[in-house]
Amino acid sequence: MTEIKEPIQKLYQSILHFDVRGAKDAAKEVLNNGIDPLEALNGGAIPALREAGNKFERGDYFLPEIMLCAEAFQEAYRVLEPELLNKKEKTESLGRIVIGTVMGDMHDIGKNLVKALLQGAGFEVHDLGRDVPIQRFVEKAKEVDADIVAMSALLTVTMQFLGTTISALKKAGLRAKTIVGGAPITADFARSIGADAFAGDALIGIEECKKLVGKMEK
Amino acid sequence: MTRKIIEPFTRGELYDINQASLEIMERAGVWYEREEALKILEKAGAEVDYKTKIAKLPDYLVKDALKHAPRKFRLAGRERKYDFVVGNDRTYWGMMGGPLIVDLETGVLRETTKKDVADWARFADALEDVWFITPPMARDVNPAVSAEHEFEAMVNNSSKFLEQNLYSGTGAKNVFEMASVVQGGDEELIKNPLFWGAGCAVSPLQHCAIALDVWFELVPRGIPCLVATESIVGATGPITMAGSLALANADVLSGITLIQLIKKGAPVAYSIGLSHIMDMKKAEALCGCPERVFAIAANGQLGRFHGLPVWAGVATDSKLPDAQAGYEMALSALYTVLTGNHMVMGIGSSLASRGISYEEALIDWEIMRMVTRIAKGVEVNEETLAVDLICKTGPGGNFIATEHTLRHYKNEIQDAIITDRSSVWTWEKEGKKDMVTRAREMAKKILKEHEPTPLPKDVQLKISEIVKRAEKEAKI
Repeated sequence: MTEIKEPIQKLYQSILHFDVRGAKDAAKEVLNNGIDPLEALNGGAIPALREAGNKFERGDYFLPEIMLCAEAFQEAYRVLEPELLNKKEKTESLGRIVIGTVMGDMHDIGKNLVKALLQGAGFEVHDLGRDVPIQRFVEKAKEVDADIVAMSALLTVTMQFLGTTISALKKAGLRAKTIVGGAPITADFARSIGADAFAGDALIGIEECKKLVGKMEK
Repeated sequence: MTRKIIEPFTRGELYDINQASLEIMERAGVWYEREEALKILEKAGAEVDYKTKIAKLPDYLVKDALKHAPRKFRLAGRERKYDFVVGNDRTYWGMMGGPLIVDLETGVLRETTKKDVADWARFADALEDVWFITPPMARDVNPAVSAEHEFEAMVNNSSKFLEQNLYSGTGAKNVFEMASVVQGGDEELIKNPLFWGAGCAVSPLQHCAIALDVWFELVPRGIPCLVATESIVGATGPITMAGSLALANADVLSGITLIQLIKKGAPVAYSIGLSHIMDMKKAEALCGCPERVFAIAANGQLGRFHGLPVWAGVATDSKLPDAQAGYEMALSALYTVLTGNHMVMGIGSSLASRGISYEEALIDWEIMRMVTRIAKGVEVNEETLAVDLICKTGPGGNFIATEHTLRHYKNEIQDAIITDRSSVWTWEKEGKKDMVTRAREMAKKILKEHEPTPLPKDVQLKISEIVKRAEKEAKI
């Protein structure tokens, strides 16, 4: 086994110990030392996030830790990203997920939790935010060739847009599987709008996403 | 006898919390989705950024608005005996609503329908000392007109105040029209408001179009409103209770300020009493945990501090009518009353506050009756001390068969309805029924037997025509 370079180790440690500034500095150090950013991601940042996810599952970490780990990862990723794009290389992940809170709905705290937990579980997550127009989901899913589109709604008046968004994704002929969640959503409702999975809560959501990518052909 | 209030927060602490809220509204500002709201606030002295939709409210603006808001106001049923004044020295209880129900017949968890709204309202109509009804959601109708359908189902089945959820300005207008028909014209409705415009801030510091549209529609017409926030301590607010209370107070005051600028003196109720607590392990927003009673207490106390009537919600994190639901509801309900909250929703809360259960409703009703009795306290005077009677009876006597007992026993000792107080042997003889079984039997009996005062036929017809018209307009 090759020795892990120091900036990568630093990156791993700062993300795992939710040191947001440390992660950013480590990422800069990676670039300054001429280390391949992809190597830093696959060898440092992503394993750190995955270990954080494991710690959450084991009960060593709670929501604040896992969400800060995800933030530290994001900060580091933002530094590395420009260099990565130049190389057109892919990072290692369980799958690519586009996530957002549907049109008309501003309640996004649940979606933000799920996003952090998904990153902790090893997914590459593209967050569209809240009040997301239908076409925005379609465009982004196409752009990143998403494996999964994850959507949330908290209100009974906005949950209908889960269905319309799923229809639009299907109509566009995208291969992405869909998963929905939010306070008023039931398994029956998720089935009735043609969603591939139902996230009864944040933790179930993560399990279901793992199942969805497991089912899919790569 | 005036009720005794407990005050967990000192006057100085309330002042500090409120000062923090004023600073938050001025420094961070508040997001209002509608430009109309921003314009009104700017005109009144707020610093507005139309691009970010954020208005920074100077403290004098908020303080001035609070001066105009009334301390108490009337809410009404469609029969005068169900009218009440929110802000009075007592607590009025109401039914929980929600998108899910545990079916009374099958025990199956399912989505709620318009039929459930009708049944829930009829059931609540039968429960003495239940003053208002929040509907389950009619999920089997077009969501664009669900408010109209829910209101129709409720008003046909109960004479009590209807806490209709409103999801749009159009919905608010249509429900106003329906309520006006029931009360006998707009003027009568404004005198006897059968519903109100409840709007919830999306914490932290956001007022969405849904709530703003409802207020813009109803405040100028003279219908009372409620400004609530469902902040989550540790998620949408700081983990420290004081900071989250200050933030929630800012959520609500920034809504009330706007309402007072729309119409000076508009009747409006205040609520930070629906706040949740974040569970950092399960990633769920909790309702029944002990920390939540601080939000309920602060709600009652800050309401009095501002001179506003307050509304609170109590709920359980349990999914069944079990021991957890029992103690969570009892602890919250007791605190709610003892800290002087005026209106409290939550009878029948189940499924971790996402739904309703008839069995739970009757258990909660019993809890509510007991809590009300506790709040009533003990009267101490010559008659109740009964020294003459004690001396006359003397050592070794008893007091059961006395005229004094006859005169007082119904007031002093409250009867139980579904609580079991029989002996072990009677309980065994009567089938060893547990609480939930007794509640289920009683709920079925109420639903089978209770007939509400019907609406006049022509009113029923007019209302159903409004719903049909709304359906048609929603399709265009």
